[in-house]
Amino acid sequence: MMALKSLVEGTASAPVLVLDAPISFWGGIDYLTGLIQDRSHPQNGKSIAGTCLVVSNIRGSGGTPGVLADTLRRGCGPAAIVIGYPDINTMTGIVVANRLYGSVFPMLLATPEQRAALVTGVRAVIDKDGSLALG
Amino acid sequence: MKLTVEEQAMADGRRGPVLEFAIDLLTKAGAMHGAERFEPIEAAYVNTTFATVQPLHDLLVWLAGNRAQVTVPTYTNVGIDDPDNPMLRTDDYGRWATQQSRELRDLHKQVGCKLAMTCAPYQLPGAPGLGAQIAVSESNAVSYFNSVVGARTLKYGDFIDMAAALAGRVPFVGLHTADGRRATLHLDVAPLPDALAGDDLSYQLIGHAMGRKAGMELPALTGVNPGASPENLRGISATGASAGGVAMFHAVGLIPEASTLAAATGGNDVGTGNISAADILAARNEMTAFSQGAIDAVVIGTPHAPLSEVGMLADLVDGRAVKDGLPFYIQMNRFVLESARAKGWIDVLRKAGATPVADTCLYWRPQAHGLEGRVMTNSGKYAYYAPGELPVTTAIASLRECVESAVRGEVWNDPELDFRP
Repeated sequence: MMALKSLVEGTASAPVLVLDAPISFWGGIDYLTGLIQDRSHPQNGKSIAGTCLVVSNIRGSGGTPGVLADTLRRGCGPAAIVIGYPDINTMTGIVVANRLYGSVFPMLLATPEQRAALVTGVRAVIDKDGSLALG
Repeated sequence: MKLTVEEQAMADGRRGPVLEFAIDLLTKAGAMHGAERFEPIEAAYVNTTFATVQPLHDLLVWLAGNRAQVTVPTYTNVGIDDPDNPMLRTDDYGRWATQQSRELRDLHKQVGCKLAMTCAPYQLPGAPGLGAQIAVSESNAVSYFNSVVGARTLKYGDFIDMAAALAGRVPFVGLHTADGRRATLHLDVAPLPDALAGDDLSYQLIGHAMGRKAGMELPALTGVNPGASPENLRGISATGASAGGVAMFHAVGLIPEASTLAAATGGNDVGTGNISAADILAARNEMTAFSQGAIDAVVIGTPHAPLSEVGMLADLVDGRAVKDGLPFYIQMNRFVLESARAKGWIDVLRKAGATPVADTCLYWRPQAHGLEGRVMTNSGKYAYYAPGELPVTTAIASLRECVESAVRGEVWNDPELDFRP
């Protein structure tokens, strides 16, 4: 069990996907499918849909929130985001999607050590207080 | 964050679901930035008019359904629809997006926004002045307001701009504070040949080079032509924002907050670097995918052209004719359009075969009529973004080069602007 800092409260139980490089939602993710479409990304072609997405940062622009919220609306977005940097636009997209579409999608801030303990494929169970259990 | 009684009432839901949502978003953002309190704003400039992103539409429907009203003067960025040019985007996707854009515009009106439909709101009468606290999302406007006007804003984004407009306040951090506006990097701009230094093109190139060098720093530029107009500095702010995400720069000696380098840095020791003539040439090369041969279209006015540029263009095309069938667009906001019309310039432009466009942006999909192939532009921002959005390659050029090339239908290079460092 790890105690992470909760940036947006929510719950999730989802397989971890650790991204090896930051990603941009605006242009970097196909919002119809959840596939990484940024050709320069090392995990190009992988799907973020339904994952507990672990990433150092979300790159990007003021357009991030709209696209992120759209993936959540369509059900092809991640189930949770564990991030290394408190990105405002990512937070905003999640808060708006939770408001508009009734989701309980969490966003957690994690130290590099905490992120290192998360391995692709392992199931993460996230509670409302920001605690994360691997199972 | 420390909340006032009124802010606490919003947070508790006693001011309704809209303000509860808005203050929640702003409080989370403030906590993430390390803000201790909110600061009232005088105006907001929202980007929530992007018609092809469904959640923007859904949020505005929710706001209008809850009878939300913005509490400060709030101006909208561009949409897809230009009512004066119904044939601009006429394929299936274009017609759908145009209709969405109209609906979104009506929803913004319902929540009390002013339908400015421009990415250059600093050109509107009554725009905020030195020291004004504002909330802006559009990247070129963020940098222009901060750097040229001396108003204060962070670079906001979708939704949070609208939250600020509804709550009338923002977290008091970063570029909103005096400390957050101090330069952290000094870049000295090398002297350029007179002809180039006197042309607006040079500012587009300086901005691009600055964007490439600034990283996360807040640059102070020395060596900028002391005769630079606010419209010229707009070239630096727009391309610095597109090529490098720069939200503010100091043009030392040219703006109120940076009378001297020491005033810009607050006397702090900062890193130093330069923008050499070679960097300027590299910026031009980077934005030049073709330098000879036929062209397919010309686009002026990204961000929306100031009145002075519309006047210069009218002078250049007066009595000339753009090559038959070659799309030549000039984008501007409606206030500038009406001012230019009153001066007779719009008639001159139309007679020469140029198409004035308002309320929209021509690097956005859906693709506007004729924007494919080789597009020439005097805008570094257009040259940078359009190839990622549209089936085009771009070449940056001076306004005169754009006109001469449009008349010929092929690239014309001004020998006076040619230089080798």
